[in-house]
Amino acid sequence: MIKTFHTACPRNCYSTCSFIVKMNGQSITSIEPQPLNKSTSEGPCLKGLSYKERAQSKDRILHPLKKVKGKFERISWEEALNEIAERLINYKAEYGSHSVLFYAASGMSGLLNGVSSDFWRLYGGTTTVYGNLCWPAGLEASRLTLGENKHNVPWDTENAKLILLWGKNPAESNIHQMLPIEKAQRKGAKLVVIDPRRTPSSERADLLLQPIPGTDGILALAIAKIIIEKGLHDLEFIEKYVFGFSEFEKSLESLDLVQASKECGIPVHFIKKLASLIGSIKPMTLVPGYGMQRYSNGGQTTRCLLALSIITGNIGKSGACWHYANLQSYVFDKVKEPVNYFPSQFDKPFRRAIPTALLGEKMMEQKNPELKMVWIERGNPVTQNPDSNKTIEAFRKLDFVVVVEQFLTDTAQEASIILPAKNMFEQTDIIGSYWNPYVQMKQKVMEPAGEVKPETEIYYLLARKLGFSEEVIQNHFPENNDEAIEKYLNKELKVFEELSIEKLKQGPILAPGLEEIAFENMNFNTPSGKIELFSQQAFDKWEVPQLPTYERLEEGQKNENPQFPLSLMSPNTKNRIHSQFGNLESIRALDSEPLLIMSPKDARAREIKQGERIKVWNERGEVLIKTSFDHSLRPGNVVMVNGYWNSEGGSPNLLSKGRETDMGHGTAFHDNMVEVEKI
Amino acid sequence: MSANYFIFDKNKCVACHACVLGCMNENGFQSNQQWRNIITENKAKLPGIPLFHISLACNHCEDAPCMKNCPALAYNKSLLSGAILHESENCIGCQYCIWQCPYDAPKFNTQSGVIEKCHFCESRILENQSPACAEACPTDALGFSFDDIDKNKITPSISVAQNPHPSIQIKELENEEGPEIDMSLFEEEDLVIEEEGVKRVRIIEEWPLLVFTFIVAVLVAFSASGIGNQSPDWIKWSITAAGGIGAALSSLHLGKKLRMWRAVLNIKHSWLSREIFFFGLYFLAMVTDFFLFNLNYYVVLIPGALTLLSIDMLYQPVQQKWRMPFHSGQSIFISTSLFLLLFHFYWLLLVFILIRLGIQLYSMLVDNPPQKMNALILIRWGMIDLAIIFLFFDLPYIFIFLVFLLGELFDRILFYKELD
Repeated sequence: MIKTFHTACPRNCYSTCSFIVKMNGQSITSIEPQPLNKSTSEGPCLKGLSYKERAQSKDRILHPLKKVKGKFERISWEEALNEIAERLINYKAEYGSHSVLFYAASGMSGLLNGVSSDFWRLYGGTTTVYGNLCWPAGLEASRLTLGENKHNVPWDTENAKLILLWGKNPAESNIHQMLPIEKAQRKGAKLVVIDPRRTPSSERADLLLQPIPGTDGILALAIAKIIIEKGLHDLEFIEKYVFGFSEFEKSLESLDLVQASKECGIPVHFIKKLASLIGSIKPMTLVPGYGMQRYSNGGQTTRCLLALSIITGNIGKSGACWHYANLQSYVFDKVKEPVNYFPSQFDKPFRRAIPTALLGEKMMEQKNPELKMVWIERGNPVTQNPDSNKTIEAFRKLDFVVVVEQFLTDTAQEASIILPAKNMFEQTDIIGSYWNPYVQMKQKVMEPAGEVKPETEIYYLLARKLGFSEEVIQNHFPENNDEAIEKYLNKELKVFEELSIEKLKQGPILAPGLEEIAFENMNFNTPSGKIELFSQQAFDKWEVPQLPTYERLEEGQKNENPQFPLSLMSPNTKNRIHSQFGNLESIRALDSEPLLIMSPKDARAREIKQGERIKVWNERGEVLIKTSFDHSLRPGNVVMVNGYWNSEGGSPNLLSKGRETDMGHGTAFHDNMVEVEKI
Repeated sequence: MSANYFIFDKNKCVACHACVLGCMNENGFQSNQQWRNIITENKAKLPGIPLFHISLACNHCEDAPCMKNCPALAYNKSLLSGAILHESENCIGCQYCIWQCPYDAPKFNTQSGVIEKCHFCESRILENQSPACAEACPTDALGFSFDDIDKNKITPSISVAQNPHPSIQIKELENEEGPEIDMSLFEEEDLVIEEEGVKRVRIIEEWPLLVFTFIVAVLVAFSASGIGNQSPDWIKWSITAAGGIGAALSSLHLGKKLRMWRAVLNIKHSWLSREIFFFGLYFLAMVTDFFLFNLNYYVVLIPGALTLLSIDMLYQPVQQKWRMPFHSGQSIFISTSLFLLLFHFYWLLLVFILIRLGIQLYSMLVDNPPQKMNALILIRWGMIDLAIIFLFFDLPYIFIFLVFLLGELFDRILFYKELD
């Protein structure tokens, strides 16, 4: 008997697709499109389709493992939990509970993740991490300027007449955005892509500009200057809704167009061309990517770009949109991103927090108490946090490492004990999306494989072993049955009339209070109540200039560094969500080994051939890897895609530096200079 | 009857590979080669040249060349859906269909030893569902239609010599220019790349076929020159052994050797069936003539000549990429030259050799063989020259013959190399 379930993908991805799973007993027969989600109606991407393999992968960890003399051996849950509980009790008694680091990342979203933080809070608190690897600089830049992070519904993009993909490559990172873009183009819209790479998203564009990485800020400011000088800005909009325009205008006086062109590597006539497009075509949807803000100047760069939408009045209208992040479906969060990443927001048990941007380095620096143990779930920090070698070093200095994982990742390899993690089909949860405007249910469609226990059950059992009181357990830790989980979720859902378990089981539901056109009422939650080009908060909070400015990168091509002259880019590909999916047979059939993509020009200068195995290195590490030529890549850049495990041939984080962004406690790990050498 | 067909929009495909995964989800993991593939034009991303993709599996052609040419009748056309279906239990694994298909649809599974390919998701079509690949496409680039279509009106996007009327409608690019970019970023050397052709025949993998076809050419030359019932025993035995070895070698190439008998089932359409049939007939006639009773010269020679014709026709689809329709190393040319040498028609041989040299030079002119081949070409003609010099100095005939034979073998190797 084939049973049909409506579910949604809980990965850290824009699209957050709804899809339909058909089950025959405990096995998936098919994964099909869910037309009720207007953003992803044509169905999930190849990763979503690969869940059929992933759920039943032969590489899945199905029971607890313990490392004995360097090798993992199967142990029982009883044994695993006893040892963990015993150590937790001992570390707390001997060194204090902050000798334990609780680390969770974005591997699986859902409300049930709240159980994890509750457990560690009730344990007495732990050291934890603040900030985020992904997007905080841009979030903070948008928040300071517009008051909050929201954008028009994805399908409104088709109403734009000018679309700017600035550092975003939706064809790989958000494929469903290509549909409204294509529809807009068919209605006559112009598409401009700004990216040092010729991405798949740029192939049908009218114009592709390839700036030097990290210089987008000055390119945007140069465009702003031309627009204002030509009087193409929207004076009426500015007068009504914008704070600090005259200061901004004045600050551009000192900007020299020729200097700016030299700095960003875009010829003056192309800057003028783009300025005239932005100044004359309305409405414009500007879609900035996240990669661009993972630089030391990421927040200020984002503010410079956003200024273009502001001065041309492209906010709060259909087709006119600053399309950075849409947190409208995060209805359950009391404090939204990026503010909830700030250490000032953490309650007392978690008062000791280290920046995730500097995980390895700061772990080793902790004193009183020193770190003894780490618990890792939903993350693969060895591969995904900056400076892998430091992260590994920090882990190896610990007494005890627990990793909750589905597969033997680089991080799991470092574990003392691995606890098998659930997959998305094995427990019901509620998720939002930072792009599409739906609240969705990720439904349980099968029993956990092997001996897998969902994290909620792991914590329930540990709470008992640690002797938490019955009342505390009743209030915080749902038992391991479907009713208890639904009851837990219902506590959150019942605040909203529109939402219920039963309704969500039928498909996605538009977020309560959704504004299809964000900022349509022109209310901005900023100190001035207006859009703030001039932000005193920016200076007070982050010590950056009040106005959008261009700051040179800490590394970057513009600083003379003859030893390491090449910028390393580490973009996401369609084949992975960060370090997930790449280990699957079906994905490996398409993408089997990491490559260093380089321009033939840079290769010629080093007498390197296509397909040759070379060394890419800097002072933080080295990777031996094959080359692949991209004839349209801007020379001066090399590319290693994000997400390959070190055990599969090397992740770019072997070369990245742990460093925070200028604002928002983001991670500036895209600013890396390297050299490539024959071996 | 309504016809089913794929619709593909080049403007929408971004090579996301969801169609490939959709196919695997429906039909199982394809470990060797995927049934559906994304073909990318300008894969090296040459600046200033547009880049686009086509998602291709089997296009279930009206006049399917795979089906027409399969010697073992392993293909059939479904009357219910129009699907070209391949029955693996009837496949001998000769891979001839791979040469025939202009879309690279048949895939040889090295583990099972037989061909496998897209079957149009026929069971889904019959339930009014699109094939899994089309359903999986998240950008609406690959679609499916159950409506009637005039297949004559479809221009296949990939250039094929004969339009087999594929069941696919391709929407061409609206903007064929690609994005405007700053070309000053690139140097002249960045704007070109050595072209890589689709590899279908590899000399290393196909050496048994090379040896077989060469042996047949030599044998037929002997038969034509009058070797027969009256010849010395050692010659008769050597020739019989060579033919036997050749036939055995050619069967090595098959994925399913035990099903070899099926290879003659499609004499009506398949040159491969004809080749095997005529060779069988020729070999039988020759052995009968050698060891049982004297047969008429033409009873032996005609099936031999027809075998050579079949061999040359067989390679036609792979040769289609050449502008020059003939090759000096075709088996009929080799056999004729050897016959002229064996028959001592030296002046005629010289004329014939010059014609072949002309073909060689002309094809070098229009088809530009890669540099590596030049050494082989030199050796090949060097051998012929040597044979002529030997002839001039009246050296022992056996030397002349062996040197000439070696030269011809090099020409046959060249033929296979250039098919690569």
